[in-house]
Amino acid sequence: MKITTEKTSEVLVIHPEGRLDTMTAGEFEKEVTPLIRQSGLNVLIDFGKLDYISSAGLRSILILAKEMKKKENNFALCCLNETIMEVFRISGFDTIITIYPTLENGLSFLKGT
Amino acid sequence: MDNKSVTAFRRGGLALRYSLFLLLAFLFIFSFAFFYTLEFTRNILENDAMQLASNVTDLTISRITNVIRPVEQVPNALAPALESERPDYKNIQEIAKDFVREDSLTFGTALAFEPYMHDAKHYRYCPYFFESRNRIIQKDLASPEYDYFSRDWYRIPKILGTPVWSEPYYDKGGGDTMMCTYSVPFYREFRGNRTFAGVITMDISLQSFNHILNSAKVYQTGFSFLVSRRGKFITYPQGEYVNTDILDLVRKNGDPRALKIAERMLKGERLFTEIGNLEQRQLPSLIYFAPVPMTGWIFALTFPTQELYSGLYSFFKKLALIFSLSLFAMIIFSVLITRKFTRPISKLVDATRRIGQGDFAADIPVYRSRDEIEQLSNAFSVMKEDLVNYIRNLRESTIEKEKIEGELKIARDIQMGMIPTKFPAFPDRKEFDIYGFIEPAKKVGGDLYDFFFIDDERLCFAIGDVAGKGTPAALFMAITTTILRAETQIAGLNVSKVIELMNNYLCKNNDSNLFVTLFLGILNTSKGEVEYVNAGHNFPFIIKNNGTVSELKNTHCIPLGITSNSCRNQTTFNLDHGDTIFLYTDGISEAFNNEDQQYSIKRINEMLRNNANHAPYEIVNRIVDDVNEFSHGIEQSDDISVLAIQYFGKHLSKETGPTHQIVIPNSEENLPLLAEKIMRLCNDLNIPSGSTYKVNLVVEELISNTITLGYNDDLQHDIILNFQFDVESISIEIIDDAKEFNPVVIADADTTSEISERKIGGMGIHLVKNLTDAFTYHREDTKNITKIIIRYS
Repeated sequence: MKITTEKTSEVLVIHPEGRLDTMTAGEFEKEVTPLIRQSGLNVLIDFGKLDYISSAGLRSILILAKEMKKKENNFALCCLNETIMEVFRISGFDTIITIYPTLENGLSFLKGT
Repeated sequence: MDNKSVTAFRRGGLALRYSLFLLLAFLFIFSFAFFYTLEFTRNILENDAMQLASNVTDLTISRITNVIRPVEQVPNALAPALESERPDYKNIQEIAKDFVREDSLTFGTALAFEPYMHDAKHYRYCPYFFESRNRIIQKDLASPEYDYFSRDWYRIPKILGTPVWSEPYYDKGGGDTMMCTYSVPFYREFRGNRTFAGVITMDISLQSFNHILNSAKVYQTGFSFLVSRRGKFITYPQGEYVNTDILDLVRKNGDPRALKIAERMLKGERLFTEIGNLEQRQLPSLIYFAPVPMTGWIFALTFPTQELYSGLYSFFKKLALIFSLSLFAMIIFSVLITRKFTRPISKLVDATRRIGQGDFAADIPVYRSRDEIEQLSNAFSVMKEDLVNYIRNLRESTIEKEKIEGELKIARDIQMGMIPTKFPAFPDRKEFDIYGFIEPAKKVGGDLYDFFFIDDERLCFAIGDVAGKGTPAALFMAITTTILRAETQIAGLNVSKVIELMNNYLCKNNDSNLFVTLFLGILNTSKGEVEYVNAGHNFPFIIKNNGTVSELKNTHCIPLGITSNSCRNQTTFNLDHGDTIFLYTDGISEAFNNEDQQYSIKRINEMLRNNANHAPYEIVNRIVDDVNEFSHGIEQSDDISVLAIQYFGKHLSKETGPTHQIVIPNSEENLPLLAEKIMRLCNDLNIPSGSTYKVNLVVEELISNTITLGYNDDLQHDIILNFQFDVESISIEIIDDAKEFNPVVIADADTTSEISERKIGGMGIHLVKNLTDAFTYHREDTKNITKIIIRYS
């Protein structure tokens, strides 16, 4: 799994690539959590290059979302493929995490707040 | 009766108890009589004592007055002579002197004059004669030292003007002894006035009374004494206390009761009473006293109380001893006699015990005593005969019963032989899974189920319930099973035709008016199509693969064996992959608990919904266990039969589509490799990417669960994954030897609460359930077998 980040003045954008599963979720969490804490910005995770997410990945996303909620920063996802979107629907995550169809959508909304 | 009480019975038991009660009663009666008699006798003795004391007192008093009367008469007679014109003093004194000499009691006599009353020369004039050593001695008391004017014997009669007995006194310078003096005053005419001229006296020696009083005694140590009017002792045994005051003596002794009695004594009363004791050395005593006339003295007679009763007490002691001995003898006789009466009872007890221990040869002793003992022994004899007969009957009927039970067991074996009870019934058939259970209420029952293939594809299954229980019902059931098998062998018949033929046959030869409810179905194992007829049987349940439960509420005809009606046409429906049909008899729905409630169809429905994801084996066993728990402690009232068939269809059969097996060791490090293999496999078979994703996800969730939670040791275990790619779906079978874990029953994850309350975890199985089209689990020996089907999207 590969993780890249970019920062604007108000939004921290994270681009995970490949699989977010049992084996990689821990690594993802370890890498992303400090970044979020340091930046203190709104966070947008771009799922555009994510092929696969399992319950372990969902768990990491939920932990991040809870952390952001506590800090009262905004947290959103964008660019989920069809299958991942189905997983989010089944798990009910789509009701608690804001999901944007495109990166631009996400950025503009997060900047606007 | 246990050994202990038998011994107690023999040792004394009834006899001893009876005698003790008798003893108590006698003791009570005797004590009453004893004390009453004692009291009565005491009263008599007291009255006697009083009479005696009264007599002695009267006698003594009369003796005293007899001796005193002459002492008074002489001076009384001389006094008038002294009052004459020219008294002849010499002659008068001579008479008095003679009397003193004659009379043993009198001690002396004096003639005392007022100053110058005898003659003008003498201021004092008082000649005194007294007896000493049987001679009369004259003494002149007219000395100033003696001063007779101040003496009581002179002063008191002068003042009172009457004759007076003096208090006892020691006459110092006069008689020089203890005495009492009787003084009679005499008078002269002087200048026309009657003037006191002097007294004439008579002395008595107090010692002289001793001999009178010494003879006035009662009992051993009783004694008497005289007291003067003012309370001075005139006599007392051994001369003690003479001239001392009785009140002083009693006061010194400190008995207030005695003091009161002494005061009454001095008032001149006559009395018989207890006085306690007069002086310290005296024992508690009774006293009788009375006044002596003339002198005003008091005579008293006293004696210790115990002497009065001593005879009485020794008599009563002897009486008590005699009575005690009699009582003792009576007890012994009573015990012996009672034992004689109770001995037959002891023998009866012995005989009864032996009979109780199974010795029916023991003789019951026979008594012709025409009393309760005879009745008892007769009753025992009858009881023994009855017991022998009863036991013989019991033994015979037990043997009979055992024989019948043995036959029933054979019947049950035959019945069970007709019903397929070996599972898995069709190990080669992957299109369905079937499991059945039957438990007759009375060893052999009227319930039945059956299933068999008519041809390669079609599985015939049936469940039924013959009215009634026991052997007749079982036989009817056997006939039903046999003709069911026979009729279905006729090619081309549909179920309603089979039912019709069966009904006709059962109606024809049905003398015992039995009938059977029957559900008959035929499952096409390739298509999932079921055609069925329900002849008055309970509605079976359909458990759909999505967990919903419903009843097949169709009835086509009345139970078989009643009339030869034809049934309406059969009903047809389809089973989808994972659907289960659940059939049962009313032994389930109408099982009772100890509160008289029925298990109910509603509860079956609930149980099925809660266990919807289980294999037939699990569903059947859970329902049966639940029924047993429900009716715990209640005898099973009806046969119980259950049959469940889960349909999978052709998708899982080996003949269709390519299969592939992956085996991985139980380590998380192997998960990426497994994911890679699945990706490659799906790519090779051109599986759509969405389905590949689902396969990947489902496998990861289940395998990672098994690896992290399923093993307790550090050994390597293999997990086997069988993939089968069909035209419409992918089937995956996961076989592992981890500890038993049924993922199907895991509760749904939280998908609705707020983000801050949303629980982390439990999402894996939730995803599997929602992403698959079938998800089943069963345990086989030590293996978990989980099956998943994913249809191509």
